[in-house]
Amino acid sequence: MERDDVLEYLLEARETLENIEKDLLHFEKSTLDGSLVDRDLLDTLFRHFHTIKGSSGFFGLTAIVKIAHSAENLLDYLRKNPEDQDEDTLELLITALDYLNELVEHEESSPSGGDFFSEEQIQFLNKLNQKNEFIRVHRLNTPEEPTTTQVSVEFGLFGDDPKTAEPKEEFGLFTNTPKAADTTEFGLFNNASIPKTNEEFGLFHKLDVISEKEKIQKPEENLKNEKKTIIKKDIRIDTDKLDSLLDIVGEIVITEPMVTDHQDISKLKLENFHKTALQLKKLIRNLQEITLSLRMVPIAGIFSRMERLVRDTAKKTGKQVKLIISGEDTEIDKSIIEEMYDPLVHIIRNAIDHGLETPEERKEAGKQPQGTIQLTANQSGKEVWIEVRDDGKGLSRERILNKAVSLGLIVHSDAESLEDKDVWEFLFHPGFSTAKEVTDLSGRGVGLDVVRKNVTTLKGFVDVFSVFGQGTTFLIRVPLTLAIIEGLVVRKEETYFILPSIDVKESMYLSNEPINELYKNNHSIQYRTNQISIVDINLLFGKDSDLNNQRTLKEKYLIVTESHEKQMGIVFDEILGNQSIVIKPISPIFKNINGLAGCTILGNGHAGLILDVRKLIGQHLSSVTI
Amino acid sequence: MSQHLKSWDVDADEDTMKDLYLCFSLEDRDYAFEVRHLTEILALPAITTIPGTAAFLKGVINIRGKIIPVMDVRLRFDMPFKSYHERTCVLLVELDGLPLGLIVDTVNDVLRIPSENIDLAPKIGESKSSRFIYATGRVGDTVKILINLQRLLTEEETHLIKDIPGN
Repeated sequence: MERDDVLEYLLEARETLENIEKDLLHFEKSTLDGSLVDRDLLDTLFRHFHTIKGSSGFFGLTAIVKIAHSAENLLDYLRKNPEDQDEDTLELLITALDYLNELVEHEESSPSGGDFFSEEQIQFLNKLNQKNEFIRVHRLNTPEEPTTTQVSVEFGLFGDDPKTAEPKEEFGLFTNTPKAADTTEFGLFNNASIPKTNEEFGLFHKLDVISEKEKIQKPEENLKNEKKTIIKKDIRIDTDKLDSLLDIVGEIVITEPMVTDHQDISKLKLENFHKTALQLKKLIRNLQEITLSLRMVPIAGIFSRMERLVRDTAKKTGKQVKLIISGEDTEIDKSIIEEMYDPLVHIIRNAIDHGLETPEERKEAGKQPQGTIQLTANQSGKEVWIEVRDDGKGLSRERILNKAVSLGLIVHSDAESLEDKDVWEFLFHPGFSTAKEVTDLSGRGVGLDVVRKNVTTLKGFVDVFSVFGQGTTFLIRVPLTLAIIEGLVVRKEETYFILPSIDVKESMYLSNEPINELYKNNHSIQYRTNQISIVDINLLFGKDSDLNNQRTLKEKYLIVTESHEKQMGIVFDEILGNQSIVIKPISPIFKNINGLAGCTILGNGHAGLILDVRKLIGQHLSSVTI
Repeated sequence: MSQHLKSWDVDADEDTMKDLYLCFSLEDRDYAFEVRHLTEILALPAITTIPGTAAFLKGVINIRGKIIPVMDVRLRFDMPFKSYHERTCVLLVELDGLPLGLIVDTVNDVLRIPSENIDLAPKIGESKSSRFIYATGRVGDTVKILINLQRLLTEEETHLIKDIPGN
């Protein structure tokens, strides 16, 4: 078996496992209120476990086969005896899923022949088999229909002696020839439940009819069939290929104006040429958009993973939580989605652990005992807004301020005059935790500062809003894609800079404006009603400022930038205009550069430097006072 | 020089890169480094300076859509700056997968310097530029100074910004 094939399969297996998780959580929700078990859902779950078992068997991943098989038996039993569904059974199925995930992960990172690698896994399998055994015995003592007897025979094969049975021996029960273990197992299994499976799975139905030899081929065909259906929907592409496609399209986008506005032809009257050039421009714009959209995936994948998190966290904290997800079909760059996982996990955990009250507290406060967390995504211009809103107790201004004072972040006397939103800002300070005690879930020093750092790396923002007693909302704003941004191209002497458009508040031409020098390298200018700090770009990069010699500015451009509601003006010689900028990383040779977000190539063939405005403002304003 | 080229032609089929050195000059001194690091030789394109970095890192250039940092080797060797002219060359090299452009005065040629003609450099004190020199190579009557390209990049302390204003 080629390792690549196994890896490809494991990727598929992960998808199936994700589906199982989704369905199990759905299943849990639908049965929690004691309503009848949803037959369709059980069938789907059964089918998923069956798929995992079958395909894993083909790849020789025996541990996965064993757990999936046992889980499948449990589900099969539930299908026939839905009234026996209880919390314990569900817990077993969820744990089975966890172990399957663990096994798949292990197989991906360190191929080990596909068997169990920890004692817990074997113990769990025994536990699962015991459960199957138990319900079989339980069932035998009550009157039964003929079909269920068949099932119990099947269970009997598994569970004759679960305590002593080594996994291998257990499978020995199925077959005399260990080599053909997997295929025989299929045969046996299907024999046991012929009437059911035949009806439900078109893919598997030939299994019983075909001869031994064909059986070995069977799983492969099976896989192929599945793949075909996948290809119809989407196709898996190596991200390297996608990246190089994106690079090339980026080049084309850059080269287009270099050609169509080439200086050699700029003075010629070429009406028809310009028409064609315009057409080309449009096509290139389309090409760029489509290429970018290739990397876009719905955020649903990461959102649905939160279901499980909410369930587990709610269980641990003893709170009742309802998760409402909306906007999950919002599309966002794949690389950004991956980076969003940790921040979301942190915020949601926090919301349940610190935000929501216990059912008793909620009743006292006149709320529903069940807390609600709303997870919402929507696209807003070139950003995606992801919102986590809880209806818990909200942030306590007093407690946060006390903590801030005790950490020396603020003097007590100033505390009262702070606006709420400035108070919430303290939450993002490293080492700031309002948790009274370290719990299992949070308060281990990893705080919102890490969340903000992660999101900032993506050129995004995290903000928090809260009304005491009514809840807290975290709003994460991230760009749709990292590869291309809109930027304002400016020039200072020979160097071209790009300011990301979202950071630019206004640009203005200075004719004869006076500037105030507060002290060396600390200048300010009147901007509307405020005095704002103004600098030239050299100063931001540690050189001396030109503004020292020019108390008035003439024929210069002032770009007012804003980040975190802090404004700073930067002086440039020329503004070249707005442009889509393909971001390229800056060579690691430049080690100590702070304040550059990357490079790009401009229409005139020059390399341009993309400024990290947020960082520049932060650095500058922390070094001066205004 | 011709005799060396001849010997290069003879065993060109074998490991062609072996013992080959690219020679360039700064002032009146001849330097050389192993040719296997060299990707191409270019006329100097427009340089975009990067503020806040060491002086010898002149900035970045655009080479067919790739952004490549350039280093002024003179400045790296603590020689006085010499303004660029139309013969100024960029030697594009790749070190540990990182592309880098080296700005030098003039490029001379590619020479074969067999290992028996190479003598490890004597310890010439701790002067700054001597750190980059690891050996000398005898070519006929002349001596080429062989430089260690990796060293050009790895000396951490010189990357620090020296002229932060005292605020």
